[in-house]
Amino acid sequence: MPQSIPVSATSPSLAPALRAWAPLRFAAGNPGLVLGATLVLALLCGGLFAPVLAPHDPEAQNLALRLAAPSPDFLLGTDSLGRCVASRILYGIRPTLGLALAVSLGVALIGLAVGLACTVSPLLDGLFMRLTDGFFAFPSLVLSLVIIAVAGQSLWGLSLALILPGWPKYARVARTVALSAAAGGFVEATRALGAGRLYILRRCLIPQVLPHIGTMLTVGVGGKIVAIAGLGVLGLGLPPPAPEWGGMLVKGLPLLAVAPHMALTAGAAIVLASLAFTLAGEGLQHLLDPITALAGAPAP
Amino acid sequence: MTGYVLRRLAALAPTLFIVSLVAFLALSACPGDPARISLIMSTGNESPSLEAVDAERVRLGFDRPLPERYLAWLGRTLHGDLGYSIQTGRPVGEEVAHAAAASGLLAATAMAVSLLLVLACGVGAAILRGTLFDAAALLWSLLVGSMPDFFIALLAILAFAVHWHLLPVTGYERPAALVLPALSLALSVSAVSARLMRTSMIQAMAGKFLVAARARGLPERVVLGRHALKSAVAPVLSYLGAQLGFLFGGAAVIETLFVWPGLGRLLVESVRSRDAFVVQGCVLAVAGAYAGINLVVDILHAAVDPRIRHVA
Repeated sequence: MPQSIPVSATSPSLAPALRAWAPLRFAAGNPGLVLGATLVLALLCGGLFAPVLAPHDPEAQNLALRLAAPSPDFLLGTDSLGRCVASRILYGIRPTLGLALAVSLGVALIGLAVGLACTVSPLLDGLFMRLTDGFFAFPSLVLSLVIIAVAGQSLWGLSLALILPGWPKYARVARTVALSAAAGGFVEATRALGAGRLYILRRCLIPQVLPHIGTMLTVGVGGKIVAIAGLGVLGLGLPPPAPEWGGMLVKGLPLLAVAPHMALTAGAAIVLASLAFTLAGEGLQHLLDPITALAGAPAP
Repeated sequence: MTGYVLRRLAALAPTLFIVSLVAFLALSACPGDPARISLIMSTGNESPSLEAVDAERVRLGFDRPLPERYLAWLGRTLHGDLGYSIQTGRPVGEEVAHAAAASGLLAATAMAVSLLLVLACGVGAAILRGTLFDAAALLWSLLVGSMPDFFIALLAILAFAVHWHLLPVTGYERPAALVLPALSLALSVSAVSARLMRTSMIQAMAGKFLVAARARGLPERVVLGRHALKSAVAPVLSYLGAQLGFLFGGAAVIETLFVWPGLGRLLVESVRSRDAFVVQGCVLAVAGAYAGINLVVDILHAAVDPRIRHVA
């Protein structure tokens, strides 16, 4: 058994070796974050380089090879029109991940802005908080469905349906953190030095709020991926020509007995993609805010 | 306690106002002329004359400014008049009531099953902390908790219906058809709450009041089963309450997959066919149930935990 080396007593000759080990030690301490980040990276690369990686054209139909089981030529089999499922899953990363990332970013920015606006005046605070109360009166899926009913089933309507129910959660968190930061002594000291409102917002409040919003955003992308797929399952998601995981899952459902690979691969893609962002986000939270992470359970 | 209930009821008012506003705006923003639709439904004449439509519009008050129309709509809604479905021609109130009954059955069954799962896994894992059971329960809840409900449903269909031919996937009339959708929802809901139950139970088991209970000579069954559990279950109940609100109406994906004629499915169908009156009826029913369930859960929570009454 080699003796373990106490970090405080590192001799200069050992320092480079320890530094080389540092990434591995980090990985061992944050397995979720590393696994999640790796998966996210793999997803992004898969989506970006889909034309290079895909073994077949995702739209090319081959009716002679309908519902073929996985084989060396078609790694994940073919669907009811003889299209390569592996290629469609790979291309399906693009609309799902693109929309999930864009929507999450929009939701986080709106939440951040509203949360910070709550610190400006108690009147605005009360108004916005009553407004978020109203949004929490519906399951978010119900609100999404109503918005699609009004705005129509387009990319624009879908984005709106995902953004509007999402921002109140971010606003609540941003408001709580910003208000407690604004009550801190360092903000008072900064103000006493003659700093203006904008300066305090920029240098004192936003840096406090941003880590919280960042971790929420990362976990949130996973939730949006599931929401997009859910709407796809309901037939209200992205329009059909694009390969979309939720739609692929529901198309495979009646064929479960003959070609289970269709629904299963689409479902696995959804689970894997959402899990990647959840793991990465929770790992990030562990890293940035160990106290809340230790407390465990998510706020109800 | 009465004061707490009254305060909680008062806090409901702004929420209900926003709910009614959303339902009303959804109705007026949806495409289609409600006066024309109403006339077709009430007379059975497929192509009413323009004059008749105009007259009906005046009668329904759709020529008035928006705030006035909101008040008129509110009055009609409070009297239970929700309009007619464009698709079926039946009164929306009737359709929503049928769907609510189906959703209620599904949600109640799913909640009962998940309560059993949460108690068995959560409390069991807390008492048997560090054992194989604890590790298995954690793995299970992580695995299931990271799956969306429709994927759990897919696996359940594959196993119980396609592979073993044990259970039907659809068919509202047969009791056996309730099993798969309820099981899928219950597994999805209980995964997170079982972990919450475990944490809460472990916290309760470290409490000094258990030392006092044991010192009084109470058997371990009473110490854990009554004293620890009562203090541990409160946060879990309030979390599950929120989930019950979700099950009632928010379970649209599961209801659609299993062709369960509940509120969620009715909402999806009406959104697809742009049946604005039904959309509005579903929204009111879901939000009303959501608010009502949350109210009951909060009051129950306050009844179990007296500290709550003085905070909110």
